[in-house]
Amino acid sequence: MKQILLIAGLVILVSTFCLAESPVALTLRMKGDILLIRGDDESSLSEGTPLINQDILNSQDDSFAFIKFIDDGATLRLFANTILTINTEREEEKLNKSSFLRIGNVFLNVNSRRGNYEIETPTTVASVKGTEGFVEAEDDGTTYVVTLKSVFEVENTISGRKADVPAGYTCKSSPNGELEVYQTEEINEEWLEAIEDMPESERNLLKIELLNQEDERRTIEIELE
Amino acid sequence: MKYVLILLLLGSIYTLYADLIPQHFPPVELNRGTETILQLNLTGEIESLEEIIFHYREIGKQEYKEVSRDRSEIRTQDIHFRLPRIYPPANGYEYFFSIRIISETLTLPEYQPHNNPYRIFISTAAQSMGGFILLNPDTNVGADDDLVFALSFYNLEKVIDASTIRILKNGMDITRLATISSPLLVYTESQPRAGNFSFQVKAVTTDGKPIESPIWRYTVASKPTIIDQLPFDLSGSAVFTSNLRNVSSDNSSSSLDRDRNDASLRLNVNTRHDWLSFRSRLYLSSLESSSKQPVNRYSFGFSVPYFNLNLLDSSPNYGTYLLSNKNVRGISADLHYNYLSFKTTYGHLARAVDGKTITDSTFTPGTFQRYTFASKLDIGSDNLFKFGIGFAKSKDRMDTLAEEYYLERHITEADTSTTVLISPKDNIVVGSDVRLALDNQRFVMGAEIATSLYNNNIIDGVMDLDEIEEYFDVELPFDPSSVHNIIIINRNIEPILPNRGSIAYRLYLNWFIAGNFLNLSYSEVGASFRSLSSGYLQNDARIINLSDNVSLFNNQLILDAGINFVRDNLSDQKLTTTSNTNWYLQSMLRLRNYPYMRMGYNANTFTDDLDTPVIDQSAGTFNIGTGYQFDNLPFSTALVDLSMNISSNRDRSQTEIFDLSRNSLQLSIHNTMREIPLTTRFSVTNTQHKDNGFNGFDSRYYRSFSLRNQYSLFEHRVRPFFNIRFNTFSGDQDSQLSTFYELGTTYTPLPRTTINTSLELSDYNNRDFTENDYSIFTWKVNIAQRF
Repeated sequence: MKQILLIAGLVILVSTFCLAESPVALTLRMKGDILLIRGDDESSLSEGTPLINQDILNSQDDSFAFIKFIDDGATLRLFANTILTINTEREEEKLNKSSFLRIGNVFLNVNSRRGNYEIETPTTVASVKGTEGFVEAEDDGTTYVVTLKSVFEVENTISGRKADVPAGYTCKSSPNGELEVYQTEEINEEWLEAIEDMPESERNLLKIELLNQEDERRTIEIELE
Repeated sequence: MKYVLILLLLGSIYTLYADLIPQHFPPVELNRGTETILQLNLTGEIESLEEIIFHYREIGKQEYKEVSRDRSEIRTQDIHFRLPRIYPPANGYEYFFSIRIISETLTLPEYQPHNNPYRIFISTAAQSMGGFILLNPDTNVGADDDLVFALSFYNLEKVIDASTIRILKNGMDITRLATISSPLLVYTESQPRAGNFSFQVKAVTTDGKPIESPIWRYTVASKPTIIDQLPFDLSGSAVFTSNLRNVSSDNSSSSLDRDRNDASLRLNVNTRHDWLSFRSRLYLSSLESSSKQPVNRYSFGFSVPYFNLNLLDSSPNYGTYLLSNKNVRGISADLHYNYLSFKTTYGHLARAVDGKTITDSTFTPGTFQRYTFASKLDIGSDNLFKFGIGFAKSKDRMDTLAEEYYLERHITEADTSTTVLISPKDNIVVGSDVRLALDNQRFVMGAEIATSLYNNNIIDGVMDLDEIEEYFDVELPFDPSSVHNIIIINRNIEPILPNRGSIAYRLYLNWFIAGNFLNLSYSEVGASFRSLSSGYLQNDARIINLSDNVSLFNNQLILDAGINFVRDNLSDQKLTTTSNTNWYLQSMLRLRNYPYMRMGYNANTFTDDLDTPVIDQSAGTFNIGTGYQFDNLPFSTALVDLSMNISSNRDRSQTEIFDLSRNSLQLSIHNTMREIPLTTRFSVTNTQHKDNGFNGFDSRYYRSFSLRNQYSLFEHRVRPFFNIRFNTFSGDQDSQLSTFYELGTTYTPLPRTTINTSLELSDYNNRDFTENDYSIFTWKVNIAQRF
């Protein structure tokens, strides 16, 4: 009986190791309280925490986090009061990323050459083909996609309607299946300010502090294309 | 008879400088962001040395900066000069040495160093190994933030054996403190200490090959200090240096200069508040003496929009011929608005220094106080077109020196004449320049022109109109006494009427095009042109200079070529005209992951125009070097550099006074241990030279061996080091040995505080003349605080 228990224990242990997920993303910077739900476990997120597939992040009031994927293919800013599930799938050298945004708001900065990025809400799938934009999901599933650079491809999963949303445009995807694309009139200032919290390297901003020969400090800021 | 005298003179000069042999090996490349130390080795009769001047400039700049060391500051045969730190986009530095010995000045490089200086380039960017992804590349960490080093090896996951991964922080293994979960590794440090930290990852691939990541450097900011909380920006540094020496020597006269202690304090302060900024530069040295030219420097600068003011010491640049490369102690101001700029300077170029009293009636010459007043008006912009016009007036003040220090009166019955020991001078230069810059200053061309009046002796004051007209046989349209405030005109004026000989001009072109940095310049300085407020100018000469620097294949191949031509006697007043032609070609091939190679050739001919030349010299120098960085042991990396230099210098005139050949070989190895923070530098040099000429000598040698070890403790805060060096050489006096030992440490208690201290022992032994032996023990302290 002891041997059976020992073998069973070993099988469970080995299975656990085999099934253990590799990290797919990392928490770069954060503020406030954000819950990390991994299976049945619930813990507080902290800077430097590796994230694995199916991790759920639940941000509380006055909080935010920057999430970076391990292939350097995307950075995501999680706004306050947002529930997001992380998921990725490896396809040869590329890491295809998809996240389920139950509610709340995220900002995406994506390098599509390193794999696709799809963000799904209860009513919508937004495929990121380009670089930057916001996705917001409301309580009822109404989803707004605001493109800042390049193009989002948006599909209303209820009606199956599709639309490309170029830079400077917003797409509203409603629970009734409607899909409306219109010119962005104004972006929430809070959202834009939030991007400022983004690590300089993610804003394509190179900041170099120099001391000249006479110890005078000079800072050079270079915005990369 | 004339030729005999010239030959004797050349022979005596050559004999003099054969006694002192300077050597310098330029480093492979400049350090990026730190100072680069250059070493000059002197062998032979070091006692004949008067002064060494180190000239350097950024590549592309016109003016050289100068650092001078006089005899009292030179105590060993290895003299070090520092090139200031440099950052891209600057390419590098050009530099040369002027070594003044009794009645002669040697230079390194030997021929036309102004136009053909040493050139070293900034190091290329660190080599990327690829594959590693730094997930948080923000290398500036706030004082209250965590230090997070997160690296993904997503692309190498199948290549790396994850169990072999090691993470090095400042060279120390911190793997056990990190979380490694393939393909991610994370190291987090809460409340990190302020300072600079480097991270690197090393691992072994699944097929057993060691690989390593690039090195990433992070800076953790210090907690806000009182300075940070001030309502204005404040930055600067304070550096204290002292050298305490003890000399043991049988020859008391030779040890006199070496047995001096010295100390200095350099204080730089910069402040800024909105539109007002202030900067001060203070340098206080124990070598300051009222009986010498100033060593101390006091500089205070104020800037507001459209106006800059500098009090006391400054080095304004008004162009090559008006005012440049001189320290002026006085006031300097610059008023500018849009495309208009007016600047003016008034101050002293030299202080008055009394001579020495030899006997009651015999004195050595002193130095007059020399003042300068210069103004310049510029119209236009540096980015397009600029025109400037200005003048500089310099004059020695006779009332600042007692008569006995410049005039010796013979008051015997038989002799009532006077002898001028040193003459006070008067000089005015008027000049103009024009500059055109296009394509964001990638193309710059311009011209400078100036003319001067120079009086070599104003002791007798101004002459009246009749005297002048009689003496020079000219008619002047004005009375000289009416312009005595501008220039004193007497028989020593040169020229009495402006002519071509009193003009200096320069045309230049700098062009960055298709990876080339092209320089072309043409200049003529007339025989009677003088500018007391500018640096050295070769008179009565035409200089043509063409050089090109090409960077190819992403800076992996650098080619540098140039030709320089100098012809004197433009005025045709000398018996002979000499011409000097110098050309060079240097190349540096630096392919990634392969050994680098450099090769160069420099040729020089110096000849006169006589049918049977008295001066007919030719010289050539070929140098080749190679180096490679490789893993020489399982736990260390070495950079090996091998350089060879073959040179000849021959007098091709009939008398063949000299026929010099010199071969030099240098091997250096820089070894870095990977497991322990130990670096070792080893260098060995062997130089053979002989002279088959009339005043020749048999084979002589110079051999040098040096070793430097540096260890690093407590995250690089304490870095003890040990240096040894042995130099053996032969010359007129056979078999000499100098040895040098240094033991010291660098301590960085705070991120901006550095303390260096070391003990040095320098020994010199001469087998033939043991009375010249000496030994110097030095305790050096350097404390630097930046803020």
